[in-house]
Amino acid sequence: MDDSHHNPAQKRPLTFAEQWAKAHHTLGGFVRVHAPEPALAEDIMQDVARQATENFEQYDPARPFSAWIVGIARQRIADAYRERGRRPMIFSSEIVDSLSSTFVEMQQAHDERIDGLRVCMGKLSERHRRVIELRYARQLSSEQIAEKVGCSTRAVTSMQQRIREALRKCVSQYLEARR
Amino acid sequence: MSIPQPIQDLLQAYFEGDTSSETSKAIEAWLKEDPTNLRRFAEYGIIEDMLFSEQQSIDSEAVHTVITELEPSSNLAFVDMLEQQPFASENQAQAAKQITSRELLSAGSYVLRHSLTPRAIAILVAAATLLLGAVLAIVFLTGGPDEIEPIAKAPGTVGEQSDVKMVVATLTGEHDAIWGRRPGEDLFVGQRLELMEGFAEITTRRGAVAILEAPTTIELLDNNNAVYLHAGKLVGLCHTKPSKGFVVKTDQADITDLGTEFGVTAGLDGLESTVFTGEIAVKAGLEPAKVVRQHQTARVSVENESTVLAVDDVLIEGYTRRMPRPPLVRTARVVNGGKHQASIDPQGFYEQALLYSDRDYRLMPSPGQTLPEAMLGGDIVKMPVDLIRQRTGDVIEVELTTDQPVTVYLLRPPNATTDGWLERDYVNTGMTFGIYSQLRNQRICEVWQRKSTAAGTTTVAWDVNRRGGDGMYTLVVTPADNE
Repeated sequence: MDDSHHNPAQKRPLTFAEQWAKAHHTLGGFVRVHAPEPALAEDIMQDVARQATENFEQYDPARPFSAWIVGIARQRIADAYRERGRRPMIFSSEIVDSLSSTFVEMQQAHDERIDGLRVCMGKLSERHRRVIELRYARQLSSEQIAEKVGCSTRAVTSMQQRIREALRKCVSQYLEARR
Repeated sequence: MSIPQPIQDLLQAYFEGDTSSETSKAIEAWLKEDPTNLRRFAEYGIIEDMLFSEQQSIDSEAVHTVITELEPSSNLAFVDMLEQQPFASENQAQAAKQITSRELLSAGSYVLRHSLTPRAIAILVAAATLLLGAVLAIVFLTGGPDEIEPIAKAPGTVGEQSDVKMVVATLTGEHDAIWGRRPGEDLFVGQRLELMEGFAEITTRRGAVAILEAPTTIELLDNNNAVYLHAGKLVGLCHTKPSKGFVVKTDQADITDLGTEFGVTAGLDGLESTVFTGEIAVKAGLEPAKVVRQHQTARVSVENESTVLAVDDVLIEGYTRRMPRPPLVRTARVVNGGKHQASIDPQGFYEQALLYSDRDYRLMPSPGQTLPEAMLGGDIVKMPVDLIRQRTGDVIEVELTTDQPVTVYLLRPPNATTDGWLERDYVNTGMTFGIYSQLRNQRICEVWQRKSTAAGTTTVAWDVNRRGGDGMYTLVVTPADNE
């Protein structure tokens, strides 16, 4: 997906709404690798959205929108940790820089990635879908999930990482097939 | 290249919220090892975000509340934005107007929490709507749902059977199966069977029995003794000489029976196969075939890399090794058990027979032993713990009611008290059986067999449970004619 600030068909700059829609999950991913706690990630996303809408006039359309919004997110993540009395960022600035570039690059395939995940989700077993529902929709802990699906906590944690890795590979293959 | 297990464990802990210095440093070191690790980590982050978004569905009432709580000017701006967006198609425009997205609620929550300006409100709401529109439009325009495997397929549809209608197997049993087939039905080469609920048993022409546990999809192959397991769970029983050599093909590997009982689970994340008795050969990709023996599990990754592990050392899938049947035990009642006065339901021992999970418990044969054949398919009843009775020394009794004569096996933990009744009513079989509270906390139980239990109601165990959970008995109830 084109990350440029212009819509070729319309020959006009994309609005904030359009830019946000094209970058939402990439931005969300950037926030989650730096702030894996769901509630904290949500708070940061809201702060990024608020700051971005209020300062959109300062955005230079000559630059990629994803780079601009990731820059805001980076600042808001650091602020969020500082407000909670923690260290500014989990990872070193070298890794944060590298991750920022990686996410900006990955934003190119944002929409295809969403599509791919939907296809790949459909290939998961019923048991795996149940675990995903309990983890992401109900936000249960591994201990609680283990109780509901009738297996050990360790089996649940191991299963979650296997599901994540399986989806990652499946989405990669999906994107590769469309290149 | 696969991610090493210790790193996988760290990543899981991290995404569960463990941001401790130790975990963070270990992940940072891994990220620095290879640029591809950065990309993988980023992909995990995006998947995390998408899963949270996709799963957090909201009801229309909640959205309606958010929308109606917006300022009238914001509502107007929202409608205006919808009307003015250059949607790619009518589908996209219609999709965008379906106010069901979590993003919309999220946008609404930004509004409520941060008291944004009307302009910001309108932009955020429109952004959320556009996102939904774009996502749904992709699905509509690319025919997305068609690319996802169908949830169910009716039997007898076009393409289900090959042109050559050679019978290679028979449907020999089912339990709570939902697919419109009947036991006794012939199954043909190339036929694809999609079991969405329950269990089914098929028998190949050479006598190999496959128990399918839903959701499972298989296809029958053409040598009278082979199936393709597309996804799901299957147990292979090859007890007769002609059935030896039964083959289960999967995307990751071919599994060949060498005279055995084994289970196979195939899915998006690879293949796992556990041998209950005997041996199998697992051939993954270009690797030479590996022989997997009793009490071993083979795992094959999606890259066709295989590993053979001892089942004592890993957590494995549970399997149903015998076709389920209605419970033998009508009621299992705890008498004089304080808060445990209510009946406890018997639970089928066929549920994950090798690896039975009950909360944090796992039952499996002790190292070097096999699950006693006679106990397979039995109902399982677990004694309760009652702390009050533990203090007072009152005896808890377990009373079973059955409609037919049964055999009761009692698994006695090392610390359990017996007060003479065990020796009076039971005989020690000499077998032992392992019960895990957690993976590495196994208690080896003696297996005792009750001398006789007629149909009707009878007390089968007494316990003062002075040892708490360590003293809990487990009962396995089987038909008397299993012996």
